[in-house]
Amino acid sequence: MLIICLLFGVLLLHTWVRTEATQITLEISLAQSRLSDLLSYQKELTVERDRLKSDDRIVHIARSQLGLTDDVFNQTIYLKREPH
Amino acid sequence: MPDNAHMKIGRRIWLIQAALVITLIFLGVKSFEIQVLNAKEFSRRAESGYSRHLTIKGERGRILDRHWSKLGASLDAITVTADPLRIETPVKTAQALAEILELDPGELAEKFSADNRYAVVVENISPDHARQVRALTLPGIYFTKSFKRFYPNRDLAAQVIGFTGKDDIGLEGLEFKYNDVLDGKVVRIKVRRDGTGRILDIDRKKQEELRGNDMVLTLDRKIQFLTETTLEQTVKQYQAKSGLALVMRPATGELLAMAQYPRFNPNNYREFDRALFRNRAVTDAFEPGSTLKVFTAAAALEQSLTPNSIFFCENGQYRIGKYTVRDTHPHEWLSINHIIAFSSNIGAVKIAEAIGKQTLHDYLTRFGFGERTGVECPGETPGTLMSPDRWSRIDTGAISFGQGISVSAIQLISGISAIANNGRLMKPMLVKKIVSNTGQDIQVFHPTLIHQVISPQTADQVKHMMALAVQEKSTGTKAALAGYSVCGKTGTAQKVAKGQAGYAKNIYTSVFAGFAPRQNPQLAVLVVVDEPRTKYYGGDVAAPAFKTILAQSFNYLSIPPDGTLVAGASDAKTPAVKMVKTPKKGGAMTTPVFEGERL
Repeated sequence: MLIICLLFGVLLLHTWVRTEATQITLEISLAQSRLSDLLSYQKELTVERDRLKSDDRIVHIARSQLGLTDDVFNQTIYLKREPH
Repeated sequence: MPDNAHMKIGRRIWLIQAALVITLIFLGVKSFEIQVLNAKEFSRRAESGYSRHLTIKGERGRILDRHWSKLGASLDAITVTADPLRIETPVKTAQALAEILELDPGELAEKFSADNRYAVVVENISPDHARQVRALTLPGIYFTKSFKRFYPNRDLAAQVIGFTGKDDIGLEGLEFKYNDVLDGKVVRIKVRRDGTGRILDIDRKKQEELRGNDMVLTLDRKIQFLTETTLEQTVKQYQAKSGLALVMRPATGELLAMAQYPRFNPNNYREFDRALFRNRAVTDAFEPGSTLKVFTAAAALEQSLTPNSIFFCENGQYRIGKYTVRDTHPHEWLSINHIIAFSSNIGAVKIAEAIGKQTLHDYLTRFGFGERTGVECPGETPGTLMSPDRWSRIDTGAISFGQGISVSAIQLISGISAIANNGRLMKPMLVKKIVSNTGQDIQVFHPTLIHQVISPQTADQVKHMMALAVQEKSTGTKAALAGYSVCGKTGTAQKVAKGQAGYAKNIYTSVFAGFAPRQNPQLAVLVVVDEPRTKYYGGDVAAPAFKTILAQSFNYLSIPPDGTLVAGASDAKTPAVKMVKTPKKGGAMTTPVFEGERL
C-alpha cells in the first residue's frame, strides 16, 4: 500500500513539474514575443527619427513654415586686425 | 471432491499465471520494439506533433554614410497569408481583414473562396497592423515574418544606393552590386509549438547572428544633400533635361557626393520611370567639351612646352580640310596659359598638332579616359577614346578641345582630381568599409594610387592655368569664390544629333570642373548640365552651381579661406574676385555669422 501511495505521489509530482515547465515555457515564449515586438518597434522608431532628421524635410519646413532663406555666400565675415 | 476442486483451482491459477506471463512477455517484447527497435521512428512522430522546422533569414545589412547615418535600413514586417480551405466564412473574414488592412473586401472574399490551399493576403505590413489582425484569431489566416527595406532620406543618393525588390534582393545600385554582402544569412531551425500550433520560441539571438553586413560609404549625407539641392535648382533654372554633380576629395579619391537630377524615391520605385534608376555619373558618357583642354595642356607641358609657349590662333577661324574650327572670340597669338583662360579651341588644336596625336592619346589614357575607373557601382562605362591610328586630322583637333571623345563624369572628376593632387591619379572610392553584424571591420578600403600621370611641376602649372580661367575676363569667372583660390575650367559641348550625321544645333552639355583651394585642394567638384535651354555656356550654367556647391561644402566642413578679399565679404555683386596672398602673421581672421533667420 505504501509503495502504491509512493508511486502515486511520484506520478502527481511528475505531472505537476511537467505542467509547471510547460506553463513557464509558454510565459518565456510570450515574453520573448513581446521583447521581439518591442525591439521591432524600437527599430521602427530609430528609422523614423532618421527620417525626421533628414535634411530635405528640415529645409522644407524651414523654408515653408518658418520663412527662412538660403544665404550661401555670407556665412563668413572678414575682420581686419586693428593696428596696435 | 475437494481434491478435484483444488486441482481445478490450481489449473485455473496456473492458466491465469501463464496468461499473465504471456501478456507480460508480449508487453515486454512490444516495449522493446517501441523503445529500442523503432525508437527513432516513434520519437520523430511524437516530435512532429509539438515541433516543426522553419527556414529563417537574417535582416539585410544597413547602408551608412561616412558618419554612420542610415541611408538604407530594414524594418521588421509581416506577410499575411491564408489557407482558403480552412476559412469557414470567407465573406466575414474578408470584411474583418479589409477594415484593418484597408483592402478591397470583394477581392479578398474572392481569394478566400478559391479552391486552393494558399493565398497571399498582404505583404510587408507593420508589426502594429499584424497585432490587430492576430487579435481577431481568424481560422485559416497565417503570419510570416519578413523585412521591408526603407530609405529614411527618401530620394537622397537614390541612384547610388539603388533599391531592393521582392524577397529583399538588390535590384539596382549598391544594393544590387553588394547584394551578397548585405543579404542576411538563411538557416533552417527547429522550433516548438504549443497545443494550438503556436510557435513557442524563435531564437531572436539566432536571428541577430544572421543579420547581413553593413556598408559604410564615403558619401557625406550633408554634402550630398547640398549638392543635390543646388543641382536641382540649376536644372530647373536653365530648363535643362537633367544634371550630374560630383564632389571628390582629390588626395584620396573619396566621393563625398554623387548627385543626379531628376531623382526617384526608392521607397516607391515602381511609381517612377526605369530610366531614372541608373547612376548616370558612372553608366553614361558625354563629350566633355573644353574641360578636356586642361589635359591637352598638361600633355603639352610634359613635352617640354611651357605655359608661356605661344600659338597663333588664326583670328578665330582655322580650316582643317573641309572643316572650320572657330573660337567664340578671335585671338592672334596666345600662350598656353591664355588658351586655357580664354578657352580657345584653335589654340587647343594647335597644341595637339604640336605634340602629335599619339602623345595626346597616351596622356588622355594615363588620365584614365577610355578605361573603367573601377568605382564600386554597377554598369560602369569606359567612355569612348578611339585608337590614335583611327584619328584623322580633324579628330585630333576635335579631341583636343573635348569633342569626338566621350567620358563619364566619374572619369572626368578623377582626372581633374589628379591635377589637384600633384599629378597623382587616385582610384575613385565610394565604399569605405564593410562591417559585420557584431561591429567588426570585415574589409576596409584604403585610398589607392593608380599612377603618377604628370609631374608635380606640370600639375602646378596646370593649376595656375585653371586659376587664371576663373579670374576676370576669363570664361569661368562665375565660379570664383570670395576668399578662396579656385581653379577650374568651363566646358560647352555640342551634342550629337539623334538620327542624323554631325552635331545638333542649339543642343549642348554645359560643364564646369574644378577644385579649391589651389595650394592644398580639399574638394574637387564637377557639374554637368544636360541640354540647358535658356543659356548654354558652361561658364553661365554650370559654373555658378559649382561655386554654390563649393561654398556650402566649405562652410559645412569648416575649411577656412586661403586668401583675403579686396572686394569685400559679400561677393554677390563681384563675380570675379581678385585674390591676394594671406599674410603670414596677423591679417585676415574668419568668424562665423550668427545672424539667426538664415539657413
